[in-house]
Amino acid sequence: MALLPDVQEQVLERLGRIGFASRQAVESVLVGQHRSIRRGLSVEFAGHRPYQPGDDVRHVDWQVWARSDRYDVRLYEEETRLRATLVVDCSGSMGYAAGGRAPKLQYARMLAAALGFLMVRQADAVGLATCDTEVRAHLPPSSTMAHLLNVIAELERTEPGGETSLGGVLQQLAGRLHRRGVVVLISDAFDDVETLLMALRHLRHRRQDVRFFQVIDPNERSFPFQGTVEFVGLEHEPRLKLDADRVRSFYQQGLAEHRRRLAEGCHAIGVQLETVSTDEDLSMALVRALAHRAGTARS
Amino acid sequence: MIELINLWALGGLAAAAAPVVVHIAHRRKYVSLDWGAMRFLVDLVAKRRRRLLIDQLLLLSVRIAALALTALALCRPAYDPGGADGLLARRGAVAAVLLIDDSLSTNAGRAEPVFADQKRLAGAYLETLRTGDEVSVLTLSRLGAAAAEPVYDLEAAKATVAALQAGAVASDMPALFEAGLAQLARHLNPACEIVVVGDGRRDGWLGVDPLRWGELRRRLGADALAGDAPVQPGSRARPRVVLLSGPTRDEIGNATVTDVRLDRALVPAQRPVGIRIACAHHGAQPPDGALLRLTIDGRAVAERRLQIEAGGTAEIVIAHGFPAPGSYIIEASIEGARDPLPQDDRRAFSVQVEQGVPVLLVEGEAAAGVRGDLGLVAAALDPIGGGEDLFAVTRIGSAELGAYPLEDCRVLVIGDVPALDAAAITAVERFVVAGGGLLVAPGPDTDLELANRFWARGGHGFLPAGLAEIVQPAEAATPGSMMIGHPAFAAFTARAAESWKAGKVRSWYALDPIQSRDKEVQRLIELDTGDALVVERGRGLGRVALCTVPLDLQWSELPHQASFVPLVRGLVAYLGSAVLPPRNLRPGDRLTYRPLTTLADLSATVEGPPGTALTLTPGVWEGRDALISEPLMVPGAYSVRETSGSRVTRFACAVPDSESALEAMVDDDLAPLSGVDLNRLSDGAEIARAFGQADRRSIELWRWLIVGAVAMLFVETLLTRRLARAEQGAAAAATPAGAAS
Repeated sequence: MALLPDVQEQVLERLGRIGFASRQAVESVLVGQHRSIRRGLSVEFAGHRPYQPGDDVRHVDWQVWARSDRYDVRLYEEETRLRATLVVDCSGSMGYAAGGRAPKLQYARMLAAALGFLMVRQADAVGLATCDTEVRAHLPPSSTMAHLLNVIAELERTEPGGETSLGGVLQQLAGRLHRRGVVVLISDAFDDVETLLMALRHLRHRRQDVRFFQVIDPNERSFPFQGTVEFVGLEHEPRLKLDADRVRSFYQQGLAEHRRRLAEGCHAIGVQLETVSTDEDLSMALVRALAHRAGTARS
Repeated sequence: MIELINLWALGGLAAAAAPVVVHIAHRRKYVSLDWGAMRFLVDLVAKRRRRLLIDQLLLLSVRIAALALTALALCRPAYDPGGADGLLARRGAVAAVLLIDDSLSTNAGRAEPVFADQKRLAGAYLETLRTGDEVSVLTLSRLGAAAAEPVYDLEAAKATVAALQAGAVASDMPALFEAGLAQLARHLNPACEIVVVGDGRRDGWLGVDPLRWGELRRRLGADALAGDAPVQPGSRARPRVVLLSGPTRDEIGNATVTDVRLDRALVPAQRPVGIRIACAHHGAQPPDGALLRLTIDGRAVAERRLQIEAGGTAEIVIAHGFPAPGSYIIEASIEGARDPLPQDDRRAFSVQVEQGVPVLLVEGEAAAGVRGDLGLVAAALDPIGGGEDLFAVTRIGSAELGAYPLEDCRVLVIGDVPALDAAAITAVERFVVAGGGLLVAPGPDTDLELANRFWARGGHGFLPAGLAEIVQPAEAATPGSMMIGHPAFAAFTARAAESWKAGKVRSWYALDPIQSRDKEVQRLIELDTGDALVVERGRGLGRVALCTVPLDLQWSELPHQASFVPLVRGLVAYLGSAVLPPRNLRPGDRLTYRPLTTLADLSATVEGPPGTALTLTPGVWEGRDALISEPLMVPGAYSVRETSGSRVTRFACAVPDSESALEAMVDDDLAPLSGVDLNRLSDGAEIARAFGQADRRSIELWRWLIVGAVAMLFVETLLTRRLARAEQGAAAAATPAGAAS
């Protein structure tokens, strides 16, 4: 279980050094976003609203009536466990690595493990789904540390391979998620945008809060190659021999268009899209993403 | 019709293939790498394949076009719409090479020299040129000088022509043409014209090797007419030849001094020497009342009435004794001839009067008196002894030769020597090549095999011929024919053979025909059997004579004959007569003075004919330090005086004797140039008519091609900049997207 020490060393300990504010941000994001509106044993006063016909008269706050002669109903919220599912794309394109950096899949594993550890530490339930053209493995959410270790072990077993078909996989996964929860999707998103957005819409429809981490290698952005290059696809695409200088502009245009459409689509359906680069420090990327989410949530 | 002026530059078109080659090489050299985001590349190939291909082909085409246009521009294509009329129509800018014959005969003329007419004709020709035309002006007397680049400044060319003066060199029209063709190669303009400005005298065109004319005809494009595609006259392959010469002058005749020489090879002091002066006359009317005057070092010593028939020759012999050894100038001049070419009426000749010419006799064993192999030779050369006479004789044994300082000798005589060691052979070789005289007389002691192996060396050694067997007939032979008139036999007359009748030759060496170079070997005396007695051959700057009998009494009675003494003295004088560096020069030669001391200790001045100013600069002649002047232009006497001493050395520059016949050229004389585009014009008006009305319709296209090439480069820059901009735009578009997320 080599992934756990790595996560502890590279992420969790450094998060500890980041300070209270960051940890609070992480925790507030993970917890504050998933309050239940159902009553339960552990209840917390949430506010008042005017009484409407049909309301249970037991919820009328008589103290308010005594002070202001108004019939207000007391509202309560239940603080419950978060059910999060980490979806890690392990298609062939996630195996890309360059310049001595870790492959994208390795970065995704670390990211998933870090998030899982943080959530379990807050007593939230964490599950895992790895996929390429289909769901390769699915572990239902659980909040125990033993389960987290199973999740991490599964992540370690995951190898890149197969073609990307994230849309279909998410549709398939949505059918398995019956309870409200969070889906954390970690992928390079090199798939058809429309299919992907349709699947995300489906997840949202299934009352899943979706957070999308798009993992990209810096070379995939800058396309720093020169001269004639034969590109060998990692997902069994035909080989292409191209003049890198000549196609750079077109490639970058295509990539930018893909990301723009993905970002706009995610924003429209309320999916938080965060792009992380494999040369970026993982803990800082995590903090940046979570802080951004917290800020969005407060505003 | 489009003509390529620089056809050789057509090979530059191959450069147009460079972009394709670079492209292919670029494609073949690639790296292979795994790539995750293939969908974007697959998409762009599917969507933009045609665009990429078009961009690539467009860029490639533009680059190829730029190079091809540049290569074509270097070919200098000229468009000729055709229809140009006139005999001497010029196609494009003119590359004119003016070849001006300024030989001695161009000085001819009573009122003014012919050369003035030539300058006017050259000026008239230059008037027909326009801005942009190139001109080179070459003169016959300056052919040896470094050629100047063509000039575009027509006024400068006119000034150059105006400043020219007639020279004193001999006519050599083929040399002038050869220089003109070489100079034409330096020109760039397409309309090539070689303009010969001559004096219209026929001698310059006659007497030339036909092969030389044939080669010139070929280079002047005479054979271009015979080809399948006739070459335009005036092109580089067939330059137009224009011969400018004024109208023929009706001259009455010209007398000249053709030769001055002495009747001795070596001139002794205080003894009368015959000075032979040859004169010639060309024309119909002989000079009346002309005198032949002889001056020695500027002082008149004799005067004779010149009696010569029209078109005839005359020789006058004047005896004169030189008072002391030294350098003298003899000058013969015809006074009162009143002919049109006074420059050839006088001729100078340099003489070195000798005393005690050092002669080294090498015998098998050193001997004295009349004993020894060369005792009789020593007696003949220096009968009194002590070197007070013409020759100063030194006798050594053959063993001493290797260490002897041969540079102090003028003549070396090798007698019946058995063999020479390697050092001696090397010393003898060097001595002869450097200008020394050598007389070899092998005898019974001579080792035949060694002589052939090391002296003759198959014709490459110093011996004129190899030695075969010793001939010993039953009946003795006598000397037969003798080359009377040879400088070595100045003392002999046509009846000299009579004096040898009693000179029996019992044995002699036959010459080896295999080891002799017959063409170079001259038989001076033959035996009545037909075998050679004395042969001679030049080697390097020196001369070598071989006598096939020893010069003592072992094999012949020759030393007992009265003719033996003048024979030996004549041979030795002839062999030692070379004065080096030469002092009798021709116009165009350089005066070379070799001092007795080193150059560092020397300063010398030169005095020449009036109006000349010569300077001597240190140089090297035949591996030795010397003072050398620029080419001599004015015939006459020159004196080099060492400022540190009283030594005066006199040089003579004689007029060429081929310039005196002033007979006018006729059309048949130009037959050697048949097939060449030759045009003969004789006055300024004719030149103006021939060239002035000609319309230059040819248009050179290279400027447009260069403009096209520059335009292609501009388009290429635009294309590459557009691609670069698109790339930058894409990068910029990609960055905010990444940042926004």
